[in-house]
Amino acid sequence: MVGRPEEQATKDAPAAIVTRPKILLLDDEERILKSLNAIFRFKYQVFMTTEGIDALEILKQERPNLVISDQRMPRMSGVDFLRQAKAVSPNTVRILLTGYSDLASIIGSINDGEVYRFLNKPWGNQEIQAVVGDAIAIGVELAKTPAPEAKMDMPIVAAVESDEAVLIIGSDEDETRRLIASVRGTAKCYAAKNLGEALKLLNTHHIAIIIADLKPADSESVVLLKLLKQEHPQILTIALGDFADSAKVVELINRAKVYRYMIKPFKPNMLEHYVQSALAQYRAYQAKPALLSQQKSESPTEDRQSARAQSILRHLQGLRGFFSRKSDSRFPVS
Amino acid sequence: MKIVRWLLVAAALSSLMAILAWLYVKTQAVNLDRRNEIVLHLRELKALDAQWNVDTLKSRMGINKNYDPITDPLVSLRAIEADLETETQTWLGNASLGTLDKLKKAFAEKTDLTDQFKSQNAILRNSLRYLPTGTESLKTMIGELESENATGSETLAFLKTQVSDMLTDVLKFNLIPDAGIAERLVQSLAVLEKLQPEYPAALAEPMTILLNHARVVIRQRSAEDELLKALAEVPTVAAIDNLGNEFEQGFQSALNESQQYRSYLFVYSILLLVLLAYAGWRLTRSYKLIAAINKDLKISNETLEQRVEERTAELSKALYSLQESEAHLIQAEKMASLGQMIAGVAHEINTPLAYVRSGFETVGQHLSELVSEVIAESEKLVKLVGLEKPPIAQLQAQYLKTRQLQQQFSENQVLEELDNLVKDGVHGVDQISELVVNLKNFSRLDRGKVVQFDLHEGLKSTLVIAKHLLKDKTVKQHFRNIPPVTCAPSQINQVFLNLISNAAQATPQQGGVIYLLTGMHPSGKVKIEVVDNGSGIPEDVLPRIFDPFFTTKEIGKGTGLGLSIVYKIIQEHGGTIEVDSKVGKGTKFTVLLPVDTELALAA
Repeated sequence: MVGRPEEQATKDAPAAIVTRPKILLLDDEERILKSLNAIFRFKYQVFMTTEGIDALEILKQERPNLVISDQRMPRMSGVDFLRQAKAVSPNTVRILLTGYSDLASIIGSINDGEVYRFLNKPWGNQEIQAVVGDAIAIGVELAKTPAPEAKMDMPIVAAVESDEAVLIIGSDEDETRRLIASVRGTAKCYAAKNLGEALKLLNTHHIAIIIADLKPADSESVVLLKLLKQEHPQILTIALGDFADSAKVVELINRAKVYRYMIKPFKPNMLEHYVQSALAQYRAYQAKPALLSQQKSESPTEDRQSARAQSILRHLQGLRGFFSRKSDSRFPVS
Repeated sequence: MKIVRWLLVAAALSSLMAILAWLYVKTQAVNLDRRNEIVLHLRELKALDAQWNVDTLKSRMGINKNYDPITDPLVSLRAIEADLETETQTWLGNASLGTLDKLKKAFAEKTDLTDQFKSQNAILRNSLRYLPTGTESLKTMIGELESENATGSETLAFLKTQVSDMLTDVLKFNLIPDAGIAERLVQSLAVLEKLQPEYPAALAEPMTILLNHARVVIRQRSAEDELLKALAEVPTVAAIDNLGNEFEQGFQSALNESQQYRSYLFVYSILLLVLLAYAGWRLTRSYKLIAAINKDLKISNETLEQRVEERTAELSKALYSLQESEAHLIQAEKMASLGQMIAGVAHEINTPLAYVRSGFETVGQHLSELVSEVIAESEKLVKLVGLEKPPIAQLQAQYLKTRQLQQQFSENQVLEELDNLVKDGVHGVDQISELVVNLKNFSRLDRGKVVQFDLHEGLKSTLVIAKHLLKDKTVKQHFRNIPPVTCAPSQINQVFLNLISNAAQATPQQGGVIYLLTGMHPSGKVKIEVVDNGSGIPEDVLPRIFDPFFTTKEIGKGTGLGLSIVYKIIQEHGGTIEVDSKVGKGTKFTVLLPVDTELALAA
């Protein structure tokens, strides 16, 4: 069934129709659509459909501020849809709402769909309203400042010559050496073996991208990435891991807003490619700081309260000055 | 090969024995008894010959009364000759027959001469017998004449002396054939003949007869002498001696030969002994070797037992760990498919759960709004109306407010929405409980292991479990009447899930069709077919699909145990599973299950 609630919405509140943000809902279960509609129909203009093809059509027609998609659907998977949605309507914020997802589709939605958040079924109405509220705000912001897609054809030489650098965090020196080898052609590289070194380097250098070689038990780096995103959303993170824990990956996207997640082993040119696209994105953010709102991550208070987090935070807040000096823009911080 | 070898050995042994026997026979070639016999024969012959000579002389002398003694030996002679002939042929060969022939000839000659002697002697004997009586009668006649006729008595007397002398001479001659006597006799005979005309006529005839007899004696005696001479000259003894010598030589050479063979035999025996000793040595050595090997064997047997025990322990340990790891792998496969199933089921459950939860929250929100706003305002209105003197303005205001709220709610279709959400909630809860029922049906954990099971029920609950896999597929069911099957339902459901999920994975996203067919097979077994129109299985892969660990999926996507477990389960149920596939056309799995089966299911 394809629900086109324009008429309904018109009937509900004809005056608000032009101003109300638009949400597109895609799920193969009609009742999911109905229950979400019941939550959002008073605040937003809701479009809903059970078919991916129809959803793409609506994206083209209506340019909604937010799309919420299911993952497991017949005919078109959520990842496929989000990838196409990104191409069709880049300023529409993308959320994946899923009852269960395998790792492959999660990583696909991060790397290909550049998803804003993962939401789980079943959801809490308040939680979903809060996330959707934020997402809509970003979507509205993006709609106001239409962002040129991060351009990949920026000269790479400029990157190497500029002081924008890549920081590689990893305890395995051999692995780090290999990573440096594959990235060196694209940008300046710094390597940190541990958190302390990483913080020092962050303080002294203009780090644009962090490549984090994560170990399954390495919760410290994850905390760093989360806090870093909160304090310095402009720094893009490429996380590397060999663990197949989908919950952890979901946490990385929701809390640390990792730009890309790669499962080891991977092809070296893949990393180079991601670094290049991350650099381009970084520059796009510098050019239009408003876009940075996209990089907003959840900031549950418990993350900030641990002693370790406190000390990291102190370091990171010290960093702010560095970035302020580098560029005049003040980044909106949650 | 072995038979040929044995035959060769047997042939060698028998030829050795044959040579030995031949040599032995050769050494036994000289029979001394026979030799002695021959010597005896020869001696006998010699004695016979000598006796014969004696007898001939005796006959000559007139000692013998008749001729039997000289004819008798002929019989013995013939017998001895015959014996000698055989012996000669046997022992000396035909070459020596000449010698024997000479002997025989000599004896034949002797016999012949003896015969002549016999007849001559008879004549002589006759004349000799006549002469004394004839002389006497003549003398008597002369005496008578003398007395009758005195004239010529001188002549008569002379005659008388002459006749007497003649008789004496004849008898003498007969005894000793002396030449002087013979001469004298001839003279006296001539005298007597000359005198004849002077004799009286009566004396003429007897005189003549007498003279004739005397002449016969003289003649025969000479002839007899000639014969005896010839007899004596017959070389019987020489022939016997020759033959004897020849025999002796023959025996000697035979003896020599046998002596030679004896030495050959000796050498051969020594050779055989050496051979035997060698064989014995070899045998001993073999025995020693065997004994050594036996000893080694015994030792190694003892250690072997120990090693076997160790190995058995190791093997059983390995087997145990293998079984354990197999069980582990099967468990892992179960867990993997369980995980996959749970993923699907979680999604299936989370969907209704999501809208039920969200809907209820919304309902709750709406209800609280209703209660806090519409109902509260309505109550206020009712209270105002219920007053004895309701303040009109306030009442009106309250009415308008309530009315507005009501309108707002109805415009927003809140009540309809509430109704819908509650209905959806009930539907969702039904969905969840259906899923739970099917989960229970699928896993059958609440039932005994082996029961009578409606396969259609199993297929249906499996379809529900696998629903997430079948989202964009068409499933067509063609169920015929089949009896309940005695089986382990949870295992059979595992088979169904595996086959259905394989089919789902093989079919394309668009237009994938899976057929589930059931029915009776002519063999009386229940037939379940899972058919898809998917990619099919390549021919080279087809024979291996039931092998454990065989998978065409990416590493980490499948353990490769799924179909092998399916195969095992079906086998344990006494059933069969067959696959028929064409690349690009699709695949058909046919499962045959006996209705009543003696389950070989392990606990």
